[in-house]
Amino acid sequence: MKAIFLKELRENAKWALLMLVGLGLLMTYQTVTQNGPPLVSYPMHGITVLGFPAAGFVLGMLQVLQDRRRGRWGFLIHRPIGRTRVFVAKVAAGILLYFGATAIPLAATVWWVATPGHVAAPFEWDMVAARAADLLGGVPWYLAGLLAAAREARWIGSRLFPAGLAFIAAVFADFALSFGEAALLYAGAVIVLLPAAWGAFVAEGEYESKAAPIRLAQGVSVAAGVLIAYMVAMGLAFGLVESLGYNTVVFSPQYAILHDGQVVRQTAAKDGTTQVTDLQGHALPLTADEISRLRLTASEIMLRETDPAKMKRSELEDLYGIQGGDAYAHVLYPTEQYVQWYYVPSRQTIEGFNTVTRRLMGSIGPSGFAGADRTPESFPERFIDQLYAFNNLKIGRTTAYDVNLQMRQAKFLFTTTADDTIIGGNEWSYQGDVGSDPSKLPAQYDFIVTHSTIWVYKNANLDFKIPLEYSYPDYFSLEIGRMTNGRFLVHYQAGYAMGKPEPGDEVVQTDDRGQIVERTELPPLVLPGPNEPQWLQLTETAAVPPALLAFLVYEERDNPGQPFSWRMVAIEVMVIGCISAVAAMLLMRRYDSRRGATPLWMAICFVMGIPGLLLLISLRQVVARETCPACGRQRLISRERCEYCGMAFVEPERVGIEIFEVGVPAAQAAHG
Amino acid sequence: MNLDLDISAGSPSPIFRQIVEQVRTAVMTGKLAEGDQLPSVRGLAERLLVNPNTVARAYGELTRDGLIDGQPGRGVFISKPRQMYTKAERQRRIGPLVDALVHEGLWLGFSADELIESLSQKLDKAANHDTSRRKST
Amino acid sequence: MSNLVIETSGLTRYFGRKCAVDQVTMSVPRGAVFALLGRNGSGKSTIVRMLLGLLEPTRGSASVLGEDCQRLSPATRGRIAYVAEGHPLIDWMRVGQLEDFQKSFYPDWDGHLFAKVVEHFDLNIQARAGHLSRGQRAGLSLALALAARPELLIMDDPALGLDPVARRTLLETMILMTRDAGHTIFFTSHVLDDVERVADHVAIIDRSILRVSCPVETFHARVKAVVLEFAGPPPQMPKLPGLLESRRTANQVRLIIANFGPDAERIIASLGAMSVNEAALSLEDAVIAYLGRRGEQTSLLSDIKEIGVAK
Repeated sequence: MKAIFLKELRENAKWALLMLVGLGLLMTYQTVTQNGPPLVSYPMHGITVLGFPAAGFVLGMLQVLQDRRRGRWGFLIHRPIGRTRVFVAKVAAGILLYFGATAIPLAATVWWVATPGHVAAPFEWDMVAARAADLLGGVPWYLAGLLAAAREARWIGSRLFPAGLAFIAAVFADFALSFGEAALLYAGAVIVLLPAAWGAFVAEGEYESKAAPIRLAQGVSVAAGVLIAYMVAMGLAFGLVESLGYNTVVFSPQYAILHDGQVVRQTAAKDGTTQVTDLQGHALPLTADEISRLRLTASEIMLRETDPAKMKRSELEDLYGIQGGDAYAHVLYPTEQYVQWYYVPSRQTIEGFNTVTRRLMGSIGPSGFAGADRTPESFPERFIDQLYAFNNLKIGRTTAYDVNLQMRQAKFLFTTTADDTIIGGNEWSYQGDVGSDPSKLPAQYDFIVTHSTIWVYKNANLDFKIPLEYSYPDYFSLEIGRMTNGRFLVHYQAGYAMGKPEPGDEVVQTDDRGQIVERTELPPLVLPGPNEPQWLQLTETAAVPPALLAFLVYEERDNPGQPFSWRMVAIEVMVIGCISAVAAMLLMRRYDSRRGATPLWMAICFVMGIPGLLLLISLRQVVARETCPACGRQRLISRERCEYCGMAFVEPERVGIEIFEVGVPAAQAAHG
Repeated sequence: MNLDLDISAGSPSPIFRQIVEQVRTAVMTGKLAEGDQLPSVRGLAERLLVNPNTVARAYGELTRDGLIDGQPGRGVFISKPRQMYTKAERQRRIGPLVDALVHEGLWLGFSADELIESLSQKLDKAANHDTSRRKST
Repeated sequence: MSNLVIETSGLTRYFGRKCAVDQVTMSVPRGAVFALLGRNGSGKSTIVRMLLGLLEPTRGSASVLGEDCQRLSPATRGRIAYVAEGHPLIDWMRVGQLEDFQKSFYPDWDGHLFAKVVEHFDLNIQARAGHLSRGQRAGLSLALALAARPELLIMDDPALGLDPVARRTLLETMILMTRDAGHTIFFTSHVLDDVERVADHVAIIDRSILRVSCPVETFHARVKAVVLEFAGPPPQMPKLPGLLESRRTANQVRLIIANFGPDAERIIASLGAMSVNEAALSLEDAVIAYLGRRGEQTSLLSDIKEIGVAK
């Protein structure tokens, strides 16, 4: 076994070296040219999430393909060592080479980035976890490569299907909240792919001849690829059809509020013009340009959940996921010429880096600026909102600060209680009081929105409060502005939420002390429905695997925008499912199957629909049939007896020229 | 051992038969005499590059014909010429060869006397050969 | 110990709809030098691969050294040496490295034998396997196979592409194996001369069907060439049991017949030939008769009247 391990190592070292150099160059280029933390940049993520799997997959395939060429397979297999041991030796060498090719450039990059003075950005060890997860992700791909090359497959497409399972694991792992979660997902893929690869390796022959657990593992691996290929193909096909004119851009109507408080509704028509009406539906002689000019200047505030305990999974992934966009240090704006400021979420610090020396030059904490010699001071809470804006306002779950990067100052602004957490905020500069008087400064407003209240700060002091009437998640955003008559106006925007009955937008006007003076309820905007013809919709849903279709329709059952009724879907599911099951039954006639295989595949195809049939065709091999001389039916040539009448196969007809005689073992020659 | 066998594969005559005939010829022309030792089956097989069974078969036939004698532990030797065949059998065997000599000779234009002369010379030579060999052993 | 080292029973293999091996039943006794003959594509290599468990039979079974071919244990594999078609090796390894590689699997390695075979094939220890000539590759494959001291040597067309010197050395090594009755050789070949020298059993497979499997002696005894002389042009040959091929010249018909028995004799006698004589028949001609088309044969030479050069 050791000899094979060394042989594999030596034979494939050149590929691993090539990959090492390639990845190393890419990572180096990325590290050197990237603005911001290189380890978690999009391009770097791209390199690892594409490069590592590619390295693993190619390595796995090469290890098998090299030995299958030119009859070398027999040379490798035929020796006094079990095939499993050969497999183990190969995999050990392959995994070692894979990690060599990938971990070395990664480790070098990490060392470079972690060493102060190389990169003008903060370094967090969590960043390594993100890339390390991608590293781990290459292992299922490696096994998928082995399986793809080793299994019997008739055409190139079906050979590559096992990659689908590794792909799915990688996609899910991309949303993992911790390294452990990602590792678990990859382990799950390995649990399926390892026995599948082993099974393809240790026994010659088609899928049918393998043991049941192997067939299950291989079936799942190939099914993953089939599903992905199918969905991509369907997406492309229907996208093509729709682009031929069946699907037009949806022009959704919008509300616009003018500076005097008037609310208008504007709809863009297909020909490019804008239709403007008032709330009663009467047309107004305004153009889109005029509306832009007359619009109320307002601050747009996106509402979101900031309490981790109440966040949806997708929001948590952004903040805490290992591949999350907000999970690691990111640039704070505005940027300066020689200093780059970063917010570091894991330490809750604001750190500044000198872009020339590439070293930490100082940090801004709640107590103010600290030089590079002092440890950066943490803010009490993680900032969740307004981090990408050019504002000074920084918002956490229950606190808000005014951070002035240029002045190197952080001023505590606001705190709230744990049961009334912040859900949004924004900064706003109001020109209204200024007019053309150069001695007057525009008022700086900070709006902080909690579950119950809109807090209005003027020039860093609390001015007044407005009770929040309509909240997240019913309303996605609000805009606050001052009208020409001095009143404040709050426009609650409902958005186009799927699955919920649409509320209409709400407009509330207050005086300049926050007292609500007027409320207007805007009629709900009607979303134009899909303008696909019925036949196209039906075809598209028919292409969806029945189980998935049923699931989707159940999930969207409360959505009024859904075009189908429960009954129609149920009928469609049954019809597609039954057709697929029958097709499966007919297809099974071409194969040599065990008892119980046909009902099983019928059930699989009932649930999976067309992808199920594709899976069946990919896995199984057509077996020839010939006419049985006894009963006349077409019998399988792979059985010892006719499956209809039980007659055995007869030897080829003798034509008189045959000579059969078994000799005796070589006797020792008498005169030897 | 003055044995110079040359067999060829691909000939219409099977290899074992070629061995038998060449040994017979060697005995007849005096190249091999009574008491001469032949190589062992294995030795001859390796020299000729043939399967030992083939040599064994040839030796078997030669033994049946009484031409050679295998002595266990000691080897294979040319045996004393002894008659294994009846007169009738011997005449049957020699018949075609005499026919061939007569036909060929007459067709080539030899006279009966020339043929007889040629035959006598060959017989004398064979007898001398035989005698000289017996003298030297 | 069983007397039969290889046994197949109804061994069949289809590739799609095409039958490559049709219910082959044959046995190879211990100590035999067994040659499997057949035209290119007649199923020989397929049979060899099935025997070694490298290909799954469609139907039927085969066993080697008493074990089912699909489930050969490592211990049994250690007793079988395999030289595959084309003498595949690990091309990047040097001769010495290949010896070390192979040696690690076989504790009973015969280093002296390896060295000698390598020497006779003019192999340089430092040479990489991929750079060797055909003959040298064959020699190396053979050396690697034999030094493992196998009981059974299975070779698929070992003489393919070999120059005469290399072929001679190959022949020598096969004869060497016959020194011990415990060695069995099973091989396929097209070089009928060498087959005639070294084989004591022969099998002929004709278009996926096994027609002959017997000792060479039996083959010689049962396949005969019969020449019929006629006064004038010979008549049409009727259907004869066991007729492999017939060739006619001006006054003569030469028949090659298997299992020449009284029935065939009677039919021939009724043809009114002037003389019916048995003629000598080489192994090569007999085998070619099995592998060619049945019935009346014409030579290419008689079909083409003229051959010239382009002007």
